[in-house]
Amino acid sequence: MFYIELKRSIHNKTILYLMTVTVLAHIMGWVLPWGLEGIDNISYEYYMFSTYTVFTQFGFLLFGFVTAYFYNKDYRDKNTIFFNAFGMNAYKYYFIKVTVLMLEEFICLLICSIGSLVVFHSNKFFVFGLLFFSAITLQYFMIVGAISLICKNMLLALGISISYWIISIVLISFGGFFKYLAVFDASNSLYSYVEQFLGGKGQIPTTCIEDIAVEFIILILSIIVICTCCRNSWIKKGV
Amino acid sequence: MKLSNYSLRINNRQLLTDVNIEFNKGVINHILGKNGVGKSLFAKDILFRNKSSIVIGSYSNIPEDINFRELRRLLIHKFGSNNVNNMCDVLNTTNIDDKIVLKKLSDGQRQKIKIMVFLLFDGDIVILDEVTNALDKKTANEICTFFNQYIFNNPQKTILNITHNLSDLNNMEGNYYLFEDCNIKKYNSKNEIIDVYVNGGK
Repeated sequence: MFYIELKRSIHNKTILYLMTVTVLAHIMGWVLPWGLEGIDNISYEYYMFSTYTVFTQFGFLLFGFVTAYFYNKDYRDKNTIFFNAFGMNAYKYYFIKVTVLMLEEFICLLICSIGSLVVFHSNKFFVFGLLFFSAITLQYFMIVGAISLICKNMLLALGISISYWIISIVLISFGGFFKYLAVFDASNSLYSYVEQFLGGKGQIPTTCIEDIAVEFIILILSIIVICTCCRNSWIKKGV
Repeated sequence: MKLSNYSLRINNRQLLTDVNIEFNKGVINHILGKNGVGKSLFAKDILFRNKSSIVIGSYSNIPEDINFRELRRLLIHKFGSNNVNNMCDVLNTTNIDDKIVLKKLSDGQRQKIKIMVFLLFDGDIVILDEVTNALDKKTANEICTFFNQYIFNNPQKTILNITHNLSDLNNMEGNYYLFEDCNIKKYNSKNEIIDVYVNGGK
C-alpha cells in the first residue's frame, strides 16, 4: 500500500506542491531579511535562521493545505472500503500517509539544501537544516493529518488546524507543559537557542533536543488515541 | 442470507421494520425500490455487519489517481497473477491502456476494473449497487453477462443487485424483491415486480 500511496502522490502532483512550497519557504528566507530589514548582503547563517523562521511561523499555512487534501481526498472519493479491503486500518492508513508525505518532503528539503549549499558555498548548517526543517514539517504532517482523519470535511480540517496553530501560540505564553504544543515556535526557548547557534554564539542545549523528543512522543501517543477512536468511523466517513 | 426480525433505523428515520426474508445463494437477487427508501443504506448495513461481504457501488471506489499497471501490480501481489489474469480476461480489461490513470478511463472501463478488484476479494455476499448505472448499453450487457457467468461458476455466493435499471432484470435472471412500506417483499415473477414498481400494481 505504501507503493500505491507513493504513486498516487506522484500522479496527483502532491510532490510538486511540496517542492513548490519548500522552494518558496527557502526563497522567503532569503527575500524577507532583504525586503523587511533592508539587509543587502545576506550571510549563510542569517539566511538559514530566516528560513527556519519561515518554516516555524508559516509552516501551518504552507503545509496544512496539502496534508488535509492528502487525507480528505479519500473521504471525498469514497476510497476507504478499498483500503479496508486491503487490510488497512486507521493506524496503518494514517502512518503510511505521513511516511509518504515525509519521504517526499525530505527529498524536497535535500534538493533545497543542496541548492543553498551551491549558492552560499557553505555546508556548515547543511545537516542542521535538513534535520530541523524535516522535524518541523513532520510535526505539521502529523498534526494536520490527525485532524484530517477526524474531519470528513476538508475546510473544517483546515479551519481546526489553523485554530490549533493560533491557540498553541497563545498557550505557549503560559509556559510549562504548553510549550510541547509547538516546540519550534518563536515564542519557545528553542527559537532563541537556534538563533545563537546559527550566529556562532552557542550550542543548542540537550534539554531543547529532549523537548523536541517529548513533543513527538506526545504527538504519537495522541495520534494512537485518535486512531483508536476513529478505527470504525474512519471507514464510514469514506462511504 | 437470511434476515430475521431485521430493522434498520438511520438518523431517527425508520427504513425497515421487522423484516423476515431470505436471499438465496447461487442466484442474482434483484432489489428494486423508489429513491430514498434506503436501499443503499441497507447495502452499507449488510457490508458493516457481515465481514465476508463486498459492495460494488458509487460509495466503494478504487483510487483513481493510479494507473491500471500499478493497480494490477498491487492485485498480483495480493491475489497472485493467475487469479488477476483470469479476472482480466473474463471482464475483457486486457485492452485497457495501462499507463493512463484510472480517472481518465471511460466509465465502463472504470466500472469493469472496480468489479474486478472487489470480486477478487472473494466475498460470500456480493452487493451490487447500481453497477450498470450511466453505462452504455453494450457495456451494461457485458457486465450482466459476466455476472450471469460468475454466479453460475460460484453457486455458493449470494448476489444482491440493487437497481433502477429494468433491463438488468431482463439480462440477469434471478429473484425479485421490492422495498416498500419499511419492508422487503419478494415477488414471484419479473413482470409482477415491474408492474408494481412502475405502475404501482394498478
